[in-house]
Amino acid sequence: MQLREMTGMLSVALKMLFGDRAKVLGLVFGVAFATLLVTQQIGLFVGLMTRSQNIIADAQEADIWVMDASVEYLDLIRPMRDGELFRVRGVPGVAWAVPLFKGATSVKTPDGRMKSALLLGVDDTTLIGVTQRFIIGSIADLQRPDAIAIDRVGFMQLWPGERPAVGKTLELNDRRAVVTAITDAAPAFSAQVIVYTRYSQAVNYLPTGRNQLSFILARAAPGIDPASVARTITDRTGLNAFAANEFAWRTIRYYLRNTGIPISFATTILLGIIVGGAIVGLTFNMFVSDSLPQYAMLKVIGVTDGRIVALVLFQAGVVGLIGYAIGTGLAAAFFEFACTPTSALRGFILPWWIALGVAGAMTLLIVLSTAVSLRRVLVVEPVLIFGANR
Amino acid sequence: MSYPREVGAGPMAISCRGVVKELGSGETRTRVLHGIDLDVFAGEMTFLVGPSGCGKTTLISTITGILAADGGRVELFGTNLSELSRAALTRFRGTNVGILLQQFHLFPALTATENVAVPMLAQGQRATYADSCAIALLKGLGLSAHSAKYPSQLSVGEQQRVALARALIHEPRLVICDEPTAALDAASGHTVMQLLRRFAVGPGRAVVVVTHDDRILPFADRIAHMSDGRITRIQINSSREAA
Repeated sequence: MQLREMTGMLSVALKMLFGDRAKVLGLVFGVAFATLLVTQQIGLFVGLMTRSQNIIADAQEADIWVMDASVEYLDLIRPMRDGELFRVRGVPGVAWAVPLFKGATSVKTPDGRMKSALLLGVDDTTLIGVTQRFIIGSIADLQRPDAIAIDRVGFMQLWPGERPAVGKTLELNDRRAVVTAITDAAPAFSAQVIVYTRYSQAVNYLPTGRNQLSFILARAAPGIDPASVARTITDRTGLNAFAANEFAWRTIRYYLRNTGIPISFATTILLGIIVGGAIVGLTFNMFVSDSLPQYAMLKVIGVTDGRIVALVLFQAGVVGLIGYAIGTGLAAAFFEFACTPTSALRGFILPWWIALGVAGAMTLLIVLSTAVSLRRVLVVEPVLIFGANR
Repeated sequence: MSYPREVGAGPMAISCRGVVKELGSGETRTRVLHGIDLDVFAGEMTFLVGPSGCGKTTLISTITGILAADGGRVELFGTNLSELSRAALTRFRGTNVGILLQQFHLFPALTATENVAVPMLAQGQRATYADSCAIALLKGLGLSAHSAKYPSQLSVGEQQRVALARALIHEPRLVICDEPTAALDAASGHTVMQLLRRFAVGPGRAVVVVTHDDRILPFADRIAHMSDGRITRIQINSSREAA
C-alpha cells in the first residue's frame, strides 16, 4: 500500500494515540527527559573537553607546538632551556618559532579579592599566541609597561558588578600588573582568570628557575605539512613536537584516559537512557495492552499485520518526535540561557552533531521499547474481541 | 445433513465441509467443532443458535478466517480460505466480510463517522470519500444527528447502529453478527434486525447471525441449530418477519 493510501489509517492511529492523553504525556515525558539529560550531559562533556585545549585553539597563528620530550599534554609542563627556541628555528620547514610561557598562579585585587589564574606569556615582539578576540583595547596594548590582558569573565569575578574596563591594577605574585585590555579568551579547564602578558614579564611574575620556556609555538613554511615539520623537529631536537590539531587531541585524550570525567558523564547519560527507556517502554507497553482490542478489531476489519506494525511504529514515532523536540528544545534553551558569554559555563554549546546523534539514540530507544509491545500486537488474535460464548 | 434450497435466493455464500477446530494446547486441548457441514446462501439471513459453549462463535471465527480450521474446508463465495496467505486472508476478509459484535468494539477516540469510515480507510480509500460515505450511511440508519459524537456520548442502541454501519460501509458480501441484540432492549433489537435485513441482505449478499435471543428469531430465513460442536438441525423459517 502506498503512503498516500495509508494516510487515512495513519490518521486513525493518531486519534487512537491521542485518545489516551495520560499515556501520551507519559511517553512524551519519557522521551523528552532522556533527550534533555543525554543532550545536556553530552554537550557539557564536549564543552569541558574542548576547554582542555582552548589555549591551543586560541593561538591560531601557530600550527606546531613544541615541548619538552617528557610532556604529553597541555597542562603538563617541564620548562625547556631558552636555547631550544633557536634550535627549533633552525629546523628546515619552520617558518618561524616563538616562545610561550604557561603557568598557574593567582591574582589579587587591591581590595583583597583573589582568584586562580592562568598566566600566558607570549613573544615580546610579535605577541603571537594571544587570543584574537579583544573586547576592550587591542593586542598592541600589551606592549605598555606592566600590561596584562585579562578575559571578561575573569574581570567580572575580580570586580563583581563592574563593567569591564581597562586601567585596573592587580597584584600578581607580589608584583603590580595593569589591565590594559579585556579579551574574550576561550575559558580554560580550571583557572578562573586568563591573563596574557609579554613573555619577559611573565617570567618575572612567575620565576621558574633556570629553564622557563614552557612551549615553543611554530609555523610550518607555506606548502609544508605541519605534521611532517613537527616530526622533523622531534628528529632534529629530541623535543616533542606536534601539529596543533594533534596536540589538542592528545590533550583531550589524556583527560579522557586519566580522569573520572568520562565515567561520570557516561553514568549520567546511561541513567538518562535507562530511566527514559524504562518510562517509554513501560508506558508504551501499557498503551498497547489497553489498545489490544482495538488492534484486534483492526485485524478483523481487514488491516494486515504489516500495516498494523506500521501504525504502531507511526504512533511510537510521533510521541518520539514530540518528546525529542521538547527535550532538544529544553537542552538548547539551557545552553542558550545558562551558558552566556559572561557565565561560568561560557563556551558550552550544543553542536548540531550532538542533536543528530541523540536523535539516533532516541530512535533506537523507541524502536527497542516498542519492539516488545509490537510482538504483543502481532500475536493478538482477532478472536479476542468476540464474546465469551464460543 | 440435507440443505433445503427452497428459501435460498442466490448462490452459495458459505460452504463448510467437515470443519474441525480445536482450542487450547496440551492436555487442555479440546475439540470445539466436530466436522461441521454448513451452507449459507446469498440473499438469506441465517441464524446460528444453540446453548452457550456449543461452538457458535468458534464457527463464525473459522468462517471468517479469524481462526484457521484444523480440518475440513471453508469456502466463502467460492474462495477456499485455507489457500490464502495470512495477509491475503486479512485483505479478503476486509473486502468481503463485515462483522458486528456483541460489545460493538467501537474505537473510543473516533467519532461515529470516523468509526464507520475505518473499513474504507483500511482498504486505502481517501478519508474525505470514506467520511462522506459514512455520513450518508449514518443518515440512512437514523444517526445523522450523532455523526460527530464519540461512542461514549451515544446510547447503547446508537452505538450498536454505529457498529452496524461500520460493518456495512464497504458493502461486504457477507455480514457476520455475534449476538447483535444481546445488549439491546426489544425495540432496539428489532430495529437493528430490520436495518440488517434492509442493508445487508440482497442478491449476492448474506447475513449470519449468532444469537441466544429468541425475540429476533422471526427475522431468520434459515436457522442452524448447534449443540456440542455439531450442527444438529437446519430449519427453514417459513414465518419469517418481513423487513
